[in-house]
Amino acid sequence: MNCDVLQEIAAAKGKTLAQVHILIVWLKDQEVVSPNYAEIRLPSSSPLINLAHLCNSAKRRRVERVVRLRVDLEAESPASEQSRCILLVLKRHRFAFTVPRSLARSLRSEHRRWATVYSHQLILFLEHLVALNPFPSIFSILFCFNLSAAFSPSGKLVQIEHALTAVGSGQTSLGIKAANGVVIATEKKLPSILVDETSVQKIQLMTTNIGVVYSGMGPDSRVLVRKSRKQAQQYFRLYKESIPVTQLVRETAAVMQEFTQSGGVRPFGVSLLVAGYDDNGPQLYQVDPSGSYFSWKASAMGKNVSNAKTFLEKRYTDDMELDDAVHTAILTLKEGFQGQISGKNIEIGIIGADRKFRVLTPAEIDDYLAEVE
Amino acid sequence: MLPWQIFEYNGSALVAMVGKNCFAIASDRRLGVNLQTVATDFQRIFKIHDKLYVGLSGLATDAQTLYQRLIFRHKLYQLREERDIKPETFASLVSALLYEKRFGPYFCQPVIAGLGDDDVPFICTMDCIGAKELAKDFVVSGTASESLYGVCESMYKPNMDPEEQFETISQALLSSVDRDCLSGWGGHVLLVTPSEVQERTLKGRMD
Repeated sequence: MNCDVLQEIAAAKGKTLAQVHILIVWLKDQEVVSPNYAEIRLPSSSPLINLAHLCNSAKRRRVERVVRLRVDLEAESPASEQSRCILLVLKRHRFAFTVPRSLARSLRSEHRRWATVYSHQLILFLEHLVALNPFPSIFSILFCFNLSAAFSPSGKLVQIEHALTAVGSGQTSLGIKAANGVVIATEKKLPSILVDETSVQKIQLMTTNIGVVYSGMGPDSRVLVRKSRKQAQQYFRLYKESIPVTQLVRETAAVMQEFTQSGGVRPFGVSLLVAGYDDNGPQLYQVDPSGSYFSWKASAMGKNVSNAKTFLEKRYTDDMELDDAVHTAILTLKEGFQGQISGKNIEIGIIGADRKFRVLTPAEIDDYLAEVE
Repeated sequence: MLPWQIFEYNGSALVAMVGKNCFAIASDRRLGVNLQTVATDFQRIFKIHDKLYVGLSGLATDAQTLYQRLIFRHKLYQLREERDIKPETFASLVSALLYEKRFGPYFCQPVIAGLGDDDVPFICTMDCIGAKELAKDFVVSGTASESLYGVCESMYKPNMDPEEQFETISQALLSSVDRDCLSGWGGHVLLVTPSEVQERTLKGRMD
C-alpha cells in the first residue's frame, strides 16, 4: 500500500490511496499485490499470473490509464528489501505483473513454468534484467505503458502527422466526381514483376453502391473496409435501406478518429477516397487518418499529390460526363507515373447512375487507355 | 390474467386509411382497466414528424414507453442524417425495436402512417414483435380490430379526398367501437395532406 506511484496517482486524481487501490481491484477484478508483502509468500498459483491474464482482457485500456507509466522502486524503503518487487510492464505484450525479488531469483528454476505462461521473449528479458542488475538490493526499472498519441508541446499530434506522412509516401490515388457518376483510380505498383497482379485489389466495395480506394498502408485499409462494410450492413439491417454515402463516411471517419485517441493503438496509415451514388447523387469523399473528412469534386492523395491536384484543377469541369472523368483520371495518373502505364498497373473503379460500383477489368482499362492516346 | 389478455387490458381501436396523396389515421379515446373506464381523453396517435404518425394500440403503459423510445431514435436519426425519416424506413426501425424484445415484448401493435417521397402515402401495421404487414388501402389494430376490418372492407374506396376520407374513417371507427366494450368514448381523427394536417375529435356513444 505504500507504493509511491500509486500515491502519486492518488494525489494527482485527488483520491485517497485506498480509493486508487479499490479502483484497481474493481478494474482488474483482482486483489492488489502490495509491494510490501514480506509476509505474503506468493504461492505458485499466485495472483500474479491471473494479473497477466487480465491484462489481455478488454479492461486493459482502462487499466492502462489508471496505473501509471513509471515504476520507480528505488523509492521504496530499504527495510522491505526482501519484499521488493519488480513491476514489469512489457509494452509489446502488455503484460502487467509483479515479481518479488525472491521469486525473481528462483526464476531460473521456475523457468519452464513461466515459459508456459508468458512468452519466451519475456522470460529472456526478465533474466537479462536480473543478470544485469548492478544493485542487488535495489531493483529499479523504468517502464512505459503504451498510451495513445499525446499532444506535443506545440499542440500537434505527431502520431497523426506521421500517419499523414505515411499516406503522402503511398501510391497515388485520385477521384473525380462527374455529373452522372464518380471515378476513382490508383496506381498499382508491385514490388516485383513476379507478383501475380490479378491478386492485388486496391479498389474495394463497401456496399454495392459505394467503393473505396486507399493511399498508404494496404493492411490498415483492410481493417477499415471490414469495419465499414459491417457498419453498412448493420444500417441496412436496422432500416432496410442502403446506407447513404455521408453516413458511411462519417462512421468510417469515427473509427479513424477513435484510433487517434485510444490507448494501445496507433492511427491508421491510410487516407481513403470513397466514391458512391445515392439519393443525393454522385459523391466523392476523402477520409484522413485524423478522422476528418471532406467532400470533393476531384481529389488526389499519395505521392505527387500536389502535381495531381494542380492537373485536376486545370482539367475539371462541372458538366463532365463519367467517360470524360475516366479519361481525366488516366491522364492525371499518367502525369506522375514512372514507366509504361497499362491495364495491369493501374486500377479504376466507376459508379454511374445505375448505382452499381464496379472495378474495371484490365481489358476495359486498356480500351480507355487506347482512347486517351 | 393470461398473457394474451394484456392486449385487452386497456382497450383500444386504431385505423389508418390511404387516400389520394393523403392519409387518415384515427383512434378511440378510452383508457380502461378491464371493464372500468379510467380516462376518456387518452391519446394513442403520436406525431413523429409533420408527415409521419404512429398509433400504438394495446397496453397503454407500453404504448407510452414505446413512443418515448421512438421519439428518441427519431431525434437521433434527424440529427445524424439531417432529414426526416421516411415512413418505410421508420417502419423498419419500429420493427427492429420490437423484435429486439422478442422474448419480453412491448404489448403494442403499432400502426404507422406517413407521406413519403413525392407525398406517396404509406401505411402499415405490425404485431408486437415487429412482423410488418403492409397494405395499400387500410390497416387496423386494437381490441376493435375485428369489427374495424369488416366496416373498412365495406366502406373503403380508393383515391378518396380528405373530406371523403374523414367521413369514411369516422363512420368506420364509431360503428366499430360500438361493437366493442373495451374501446370507444368518441374518437380522434387526423387527416394528413402534403400541405396541412387536420385534427378532429369525434363524439359517439359516450358510455
